Amino acid sequence: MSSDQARVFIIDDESDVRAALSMLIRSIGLEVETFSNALEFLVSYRPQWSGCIVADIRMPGMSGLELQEKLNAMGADMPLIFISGHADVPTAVRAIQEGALDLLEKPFSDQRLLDKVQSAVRRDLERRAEIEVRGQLRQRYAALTPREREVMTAVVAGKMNKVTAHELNLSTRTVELHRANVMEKMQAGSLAELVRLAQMLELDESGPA
Amino acid sequence: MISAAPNLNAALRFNDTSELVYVSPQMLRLLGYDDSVFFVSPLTDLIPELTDERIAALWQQTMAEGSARLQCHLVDCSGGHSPVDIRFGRIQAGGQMQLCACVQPMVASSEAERLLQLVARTTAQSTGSEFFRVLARSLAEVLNVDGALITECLDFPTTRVHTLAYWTHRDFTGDIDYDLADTPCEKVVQEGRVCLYASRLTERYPKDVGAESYLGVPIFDADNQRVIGHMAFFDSQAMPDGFYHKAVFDIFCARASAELQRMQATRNLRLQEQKYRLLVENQQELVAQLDSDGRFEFASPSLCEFFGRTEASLMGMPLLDLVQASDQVHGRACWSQLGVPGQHGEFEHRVETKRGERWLSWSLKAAIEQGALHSVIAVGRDITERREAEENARQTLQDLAHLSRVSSMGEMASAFAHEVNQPLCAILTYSQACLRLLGSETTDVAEIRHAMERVAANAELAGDIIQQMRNFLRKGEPDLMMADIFQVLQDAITLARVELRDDAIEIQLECEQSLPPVRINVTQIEQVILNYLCNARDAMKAVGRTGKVSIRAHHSAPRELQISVLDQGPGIDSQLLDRVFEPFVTSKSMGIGIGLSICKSIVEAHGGRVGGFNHPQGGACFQLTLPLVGEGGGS
Repeated sequence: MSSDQARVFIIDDESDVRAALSMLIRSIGLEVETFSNALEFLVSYRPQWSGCIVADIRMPGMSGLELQEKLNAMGADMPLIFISGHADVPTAVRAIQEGALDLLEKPFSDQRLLDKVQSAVRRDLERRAEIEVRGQLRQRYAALTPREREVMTAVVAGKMNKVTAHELNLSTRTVELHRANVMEKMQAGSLAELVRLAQMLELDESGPA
Repeated sequence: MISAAPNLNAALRFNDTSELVYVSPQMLRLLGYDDSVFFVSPLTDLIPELTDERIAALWQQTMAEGSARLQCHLVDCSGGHSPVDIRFGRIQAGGQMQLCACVQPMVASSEAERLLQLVARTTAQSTGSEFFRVLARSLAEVLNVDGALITECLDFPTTRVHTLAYWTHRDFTGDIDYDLADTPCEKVVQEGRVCLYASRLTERYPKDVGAESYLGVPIFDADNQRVIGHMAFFDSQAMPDGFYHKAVFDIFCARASAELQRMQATRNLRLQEQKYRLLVENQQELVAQLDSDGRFEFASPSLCEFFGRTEASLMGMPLLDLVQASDQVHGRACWSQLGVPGQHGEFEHRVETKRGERWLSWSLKAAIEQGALHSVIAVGRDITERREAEENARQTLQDLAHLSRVSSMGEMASAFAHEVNQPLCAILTYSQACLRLLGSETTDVAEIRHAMERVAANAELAGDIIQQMRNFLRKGEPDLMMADIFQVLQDAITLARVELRDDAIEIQLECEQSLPPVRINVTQIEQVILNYLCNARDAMKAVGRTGKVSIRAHHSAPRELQISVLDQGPGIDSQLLDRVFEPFVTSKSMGIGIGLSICKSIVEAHGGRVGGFNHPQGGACFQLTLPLVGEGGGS
């Protein structure tokens, strides 16, 4: 799974608002793609896209909230920033509850929008990086033998080799061997790193989540 | 003169030995004898003074002087004496010279002269009712009777008469009306006969107490066709023979008739004149007769008073000079239509009077003679109150329409805010982007230029929206103006789209090419169309439908423009179908139902009409029809 370069997807039925937003966002060096309605965006959407969505809540045809529902249903979790001419409170609450990053009322301060966009993009990139790392970890973890996973769980839990050997009914020497294999397969340079990797995998006694 | 008509008079003839040789039938009648009765009495029994000696003396006198005259008495068959005037003359008969005596009853001769003189005097001195009084009195005195009356008929056929003069017992009594029935006058008037009851009147007419004798003479009209009145004389004594002398009474009657008819004609004339005066003087309408150039020939008192002018000062002056200058064009247009026979014209104008500015409406009717305009009767009416009432009604409608616009604008406020916000947002965002680009090292001038162009365009757009809203909310344009209906419809659609944008309802305009301009109050007609559109939206929204609303404008008749708004909603409730334009009739749970009734008032104030029905293919159709006026009619 590879991610494309992050982009800001602008969805608004007003061409001037689209163009102006596009210009503003491009001024901070972000790539922009514009759509005149929600359906057009949904049709073109690819899961590997990264960045964030800036959409008008009030649009003819499919509204912003409907778009949000569709994206959630698809499992697409790209950050969503709503802008609105005049959003009423229930609309705003619903948008945030459904996971929107923010709702900006027109006219809005450019700095505030750009901050939101930048943080959204960063967050999406981080999220995607984390997903990437977690995927690699899972592959590494999958390469471990059952015995090695047992040893790794014990090591991460901070047990001494002797205690582990006793619990697993192994010799201390064998535990040390397994432990070295784990460190190598998991590409962990130190015990501390291994613990962090295990946390990322959300390991507990029963295995990875 | 004496021998002029000897056979018609009562006459006697004597031969040269003074022997009576001829008695005329009139003479016999004068004496009261029948023709058939053989006459044997000596002459002196009949005329005691005519003795043989006397006759001989008269013979001699007549032979010597040519004539003679004797006044003496007759003794009639009943023994009564009556004075006679006898004139004697010579006559040649059968080769013999004879003495002819013409006998005239004395009353009829000398009295007649007196009476004729009296008539001459009364006619010379008096007329009218005075004439009748003088006549009645004089006749009563001359004839030596107790009473005399002269009447005129009150009805035809006559049953009742009115006394013009009533002289009795040496004095006038007040004039009276009385019924002819059972009076001696009945026959006189109804049958047109002279009636003489020389005595014993009360035996026949018991009501006439105290009257022994009666003479009634009818008064005929000029054509002798109809009795128009009568004269009557009565007395407590018997009337002497010869009391009625036809020739004399004929003269009186003719004179009375002439006077009575003159009096009646005068009276009729006065009555008609009064009627006419009542009509002209008391009517509110201003009446004028104009010549073929529109100049006054006659002006009614009401007209003179209205303009504060004398009739004399108006004569010869054109009616148009009284019309306020700015309205004269209407008057001239009206006048130009009058050349065609049977044509009439109407126009309204303002005029300054001492009561302030008034509105007059004139109705002109032409009299055409030999194909040319001869004269014009103009009837004017003060319509200021009507005009003011119309103006008030118009003002009320304007206020109501305005209120309705304000309230609909309240409903549309959030939609409008959104509409204005869009360009504002674009402007702000463009400007901010430009500022950022200007601060960066890689300044793309072309991009900034484009952004600034869009800023200008969006600012204009925002201004337009606000202007449109302000126009719509404006209190009202008092005047109608020539407008392009296509533009009006587009403006209404722009306003409506603001409202419809969320509702997925499309508005489709189908307009016939080159529709003529129509004379309307643009804001108000826009309001009607917007109202129709919003109703269509509400109807479709109420049943959760999306779809389109069609507006069509076309010529429904040569001088008519029809605009229809057709929706795809559920249609009009059949129970409300006939009443949708009435106030407070609504199908909406939230509506107060004033919208369509204002629409109706607005359209009717434009001389048009509204309609609402269900389309055969579903949906409701609301229409407004406007009259097309002449293109030059704009002001």
